[in-house]
Amino acid sequence: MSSCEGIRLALGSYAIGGLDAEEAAEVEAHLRRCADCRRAYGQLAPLPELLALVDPDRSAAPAPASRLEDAVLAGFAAQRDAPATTGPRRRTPQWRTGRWRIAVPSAVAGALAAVALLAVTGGLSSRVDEGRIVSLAAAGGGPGSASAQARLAGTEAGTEVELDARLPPLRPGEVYELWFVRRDGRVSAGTFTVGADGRADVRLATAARADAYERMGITREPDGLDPARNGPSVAVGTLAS
Amino acid sequence: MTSGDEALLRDLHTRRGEDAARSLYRTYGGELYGFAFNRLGDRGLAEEVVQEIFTRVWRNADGFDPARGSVRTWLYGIARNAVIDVERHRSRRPPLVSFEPAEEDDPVADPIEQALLRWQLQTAFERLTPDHREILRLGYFAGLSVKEIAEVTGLAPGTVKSRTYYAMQSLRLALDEMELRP
Repeated sequence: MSSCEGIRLALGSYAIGGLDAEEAAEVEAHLRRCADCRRAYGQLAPLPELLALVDPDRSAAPAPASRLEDAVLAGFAAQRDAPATTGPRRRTPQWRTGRWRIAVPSAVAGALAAVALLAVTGGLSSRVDEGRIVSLAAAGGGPGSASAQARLAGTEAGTEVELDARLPPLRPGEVYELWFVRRDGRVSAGTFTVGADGRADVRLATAARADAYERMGITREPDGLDPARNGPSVAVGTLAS
Repeated sequence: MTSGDEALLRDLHTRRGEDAARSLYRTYGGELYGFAFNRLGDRGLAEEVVQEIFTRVWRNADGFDPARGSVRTWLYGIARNAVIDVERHRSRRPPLVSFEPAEEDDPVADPIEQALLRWQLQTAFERLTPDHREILRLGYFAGLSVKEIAEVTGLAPGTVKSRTYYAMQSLRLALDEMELRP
């Protein structure tokens, strides 16, 4: 195999130490004489060291859920449209200013949230599980000052949440949104705003059952009328019991 | 491919913006998500990181300078910062999110630059054909000689050598394409 072609094809095995002593000596003798093959070997020589960082048996990386693409593209649309909205800001709808705030049906939760809306406006959903408290603290990438306490009450219709939050003030048009999150999805528990002091003391309701979710999170939504999750997470807490 | 990505960044501001955004996400979203998930061990956090990366991309596309590296390199720089931000927050407080323990090696102990390199190498390796991955699994990771591989697989020794050579060539090409120049 002292021809260049024969040597070339053996260079990979040579680089990873797969040749027997006799063949390896033959390759080395050829490399001393042949600059072209030396160059070819130079391309492969650094690879074994890099391969050491690879896990050959790792199963393929998990694929992101398709909703991530939707969220990323919604973020793009919001960013693109942002400079154009120089006109008068939308007024805060009346229902968002009261002390009782009701879940905005989210696209994710659509029908479920509508059920919750009926239950809450009916006003007398009976409680089946009282008073579990979940603490939420600043999420990665969020401001360090964000925190909230959520008192969860299970009802026949879902979950009522009494939320006491201290969050950064919002810009006009923005709202905070509370979510129940699990691996395969999230459901909105409604949107709310904070006062100038960053405080919110609100009651929200959702058809989600807290025990079916792993985490709660608050996101800051750039557009309070867009039901998708577009904004960054500001606070998270775990629901694991 | 690289200049195609640059064109996509320029297109973000045009009428084709949404298509450009989708193409960029489809090219890099899965890979960046994989990196973030691998590093953080949590799907929710990984999704947030990917959203944050692309938010920064949309906002800073004008700041991309092709003279300083490819779009891929730029994206990984952004990903690096986004992951560091999350880790910083996590280290300041006890973990509040469900956290899957990493496999054997603790990713947090892995410096981020090493983790980025490791991830991109892993991605390059996984892009090889199954035959090429298999021949490297036997020849490099299991440490079998050409003769032993020939015995195990029934391939001729010459085929083992040439396949190993082409597998390494492919890996080298994949690394060059990713601008990882060993």
